[in-house]
Amino acid sequence: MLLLRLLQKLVKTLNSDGTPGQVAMGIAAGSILGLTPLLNLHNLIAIAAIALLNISFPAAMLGWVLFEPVGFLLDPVFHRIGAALLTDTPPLMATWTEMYNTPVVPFSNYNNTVVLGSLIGWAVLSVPIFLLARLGVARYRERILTRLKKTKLFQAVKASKLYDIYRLFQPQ
Amino acid sequence: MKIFRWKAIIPIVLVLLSVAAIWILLLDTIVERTVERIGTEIVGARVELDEADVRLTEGFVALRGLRVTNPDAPMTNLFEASEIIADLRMVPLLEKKIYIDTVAVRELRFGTARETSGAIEGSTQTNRAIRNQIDAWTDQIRIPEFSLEGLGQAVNVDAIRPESLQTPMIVRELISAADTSRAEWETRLTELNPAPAIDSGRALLERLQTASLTSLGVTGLVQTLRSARTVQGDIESLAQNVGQLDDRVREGVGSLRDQLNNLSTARDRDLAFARSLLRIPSLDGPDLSPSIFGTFAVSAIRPLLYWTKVAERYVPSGLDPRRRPGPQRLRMAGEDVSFPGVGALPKFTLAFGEATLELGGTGVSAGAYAARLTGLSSAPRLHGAPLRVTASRTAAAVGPTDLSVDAVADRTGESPNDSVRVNVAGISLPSLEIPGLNATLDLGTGTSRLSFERTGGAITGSWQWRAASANWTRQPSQSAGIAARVEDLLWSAASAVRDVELEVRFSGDPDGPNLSVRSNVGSAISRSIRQQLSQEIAAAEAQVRAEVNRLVGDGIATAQERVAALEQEIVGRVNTQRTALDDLRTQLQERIRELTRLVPGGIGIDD
Repeated sequence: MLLLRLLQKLVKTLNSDGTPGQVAMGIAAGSILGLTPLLNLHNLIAIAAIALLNISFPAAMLGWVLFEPVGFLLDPVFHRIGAALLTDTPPLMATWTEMYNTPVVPFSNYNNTVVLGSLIGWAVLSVPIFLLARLGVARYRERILTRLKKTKLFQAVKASKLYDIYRLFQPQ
Repeated sequence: MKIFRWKAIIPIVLVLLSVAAIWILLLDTIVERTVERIGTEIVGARVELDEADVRLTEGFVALRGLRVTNPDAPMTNLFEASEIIADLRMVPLLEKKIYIDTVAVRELRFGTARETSGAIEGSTQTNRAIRNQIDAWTDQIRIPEFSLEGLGQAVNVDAIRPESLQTPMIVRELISAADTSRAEWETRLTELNPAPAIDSGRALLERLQTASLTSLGVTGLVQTLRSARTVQGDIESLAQNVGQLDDRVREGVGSLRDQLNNLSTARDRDLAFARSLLRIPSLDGPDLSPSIFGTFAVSAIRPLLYWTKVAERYVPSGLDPRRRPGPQRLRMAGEDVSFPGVGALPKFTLAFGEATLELGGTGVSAGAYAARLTGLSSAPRLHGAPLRVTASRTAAAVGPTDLSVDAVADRTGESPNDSVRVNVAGISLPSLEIPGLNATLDLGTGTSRLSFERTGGAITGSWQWRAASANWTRQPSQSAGIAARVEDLLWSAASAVRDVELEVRFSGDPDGPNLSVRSNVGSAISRSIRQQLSQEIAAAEAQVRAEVNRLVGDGIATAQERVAALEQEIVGRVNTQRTALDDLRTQLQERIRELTRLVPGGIGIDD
């Protein structure tokens, strides 16, 4: 319940728009929180960007929740990608060394194989995530939401707090 | 549509301030946990810290109640310090680097007892890899057994089985190789079949001897010479093939001869093996020290190798990127890769450290001590100066001042160049179980002297222990008869040694150095054995030698005969054919040249 209220307040506070593009952007941006290890500098920037940019904040939270298990599953792949980039790509060595010895940058933990690999993984996956999410939300609103509204369950849910979440996906 | 939600700035700032506040509030705990986590990873046993006090604005860090478990004795602390005060530089922290200008350690104590075990479940990644390497080295060390069980018993030569000896196997392989070679060479000689060609060549040579321009005319002589040239070519080709076979045969026979010569070495090894089966103590004095103190020597050197490898990992030479396990978290830890850059600061630097400690009591070690450390760095090449550690006694309560530590670890170049000298007096030396005597040697208080050098990939050094008044205690003997008598004699010899000296020398690759052990106890026992049992042991050894010779002697003789026959027959035959072909070829060549000169202009004849 607390989470629902928080989400509701956040939506109100941040005045989120709810177009499919905004929702999809929110999911794509939120997926970085799920795909990469959370306690890192880049995620602080990501959270700030999610809050500051006019994209769906609750959708970003949804993206985080959805992609958290995916992140766990893909960690071995991220580790390999990170290790390959950090240790097996000589042309990048000078860049890594420069970054390693630059103030603040090391706090991003880019020199961790999983962090770098997952960040690169997110950068690659974010575009398809955005496109699929936008398509999915649009289709959902066209085909499912209309029918869903007529069901008794929906009516019941609508009357409850849960409905606030659904509102996020409604066109403004 | 607007792009930014400006209203969000205030919540974001509030969130960031909250994060910063929480971080500052938890900083002490974070530092405490970090010290414990990294320390445990490095040491391979639990590192505990009671309290951390960090004041970033002052660059002040205090660690209180630090306890570092000895990984080889989890119920003992390697050392503990009541307080460590560090003076920290602030700017390097922005690069996530720690630069400590000075550190002072108070009330440092070594070898203190722990209330709970400091062993960690499983082991850390670093610790596991190093321990595996050292275990592999330990496993391959063969400590000769010292046992008196074989004495006094009738020597049972039946225990020596031919299949457990190396020589018969080598003999079988040698005979098989000789037979295979013989068959191969004979086949080749049969294929070449030089006899008909030699006969034909000789017949031609005879005809050429009588040939002349007047008897054959120019045309006849040219035709004869052309025909002779063809035969000469065949003979030369054949001579070359036979020559190659001859070379191969000589080389093969030489190899078999070498193997024959090596049989005596194999027989010596078999003899040593047979002696070990019968558990006859060696009469050679130094050989007994490894038997008696071998296990202790290995256990003493293991920590030394462990810390050498830990230093190698955390204080490496060169500037290559290094991979280390990442931080523990719910997600996969991965690996952290460090990129030391020329001109940049190392990840960790301790410019100067000082420690004081006092040992109480009335022993010769009681007194005040001081230790200094300079240049400890995770990247010595960047720091540009070697690590130096010195320690000495500043005030002696009792006895002479004779503690000194002088260590230099120079890793500023591509390869390490380290040296360590430690002299300690008045320390408690260990108690040792003496196999074969049912006795315990308590070395009591004594001196210990360690010398260690590392140049590049090789280490060398020694560790000496000396106890002026060692105590011997003996368990009731299980032996009977002559074995009990022998044990009594050895006990008398060993227990008379009160001034015990023990030295372990090591050298070679740090991954698997060679060990040698020397002790006056081993010499004393050896002398006693020599005096008391020399005749008995000599007779037993002779019996063993005779049995080994009986088991391997026939085989060696057969192998010698087989190789000799091979040499005599095949080498002789091939050599005879080669000589005959070479002679014939020379004579034909010479005669053809003579006759060619008779043909005007040498038309059509290539010389």
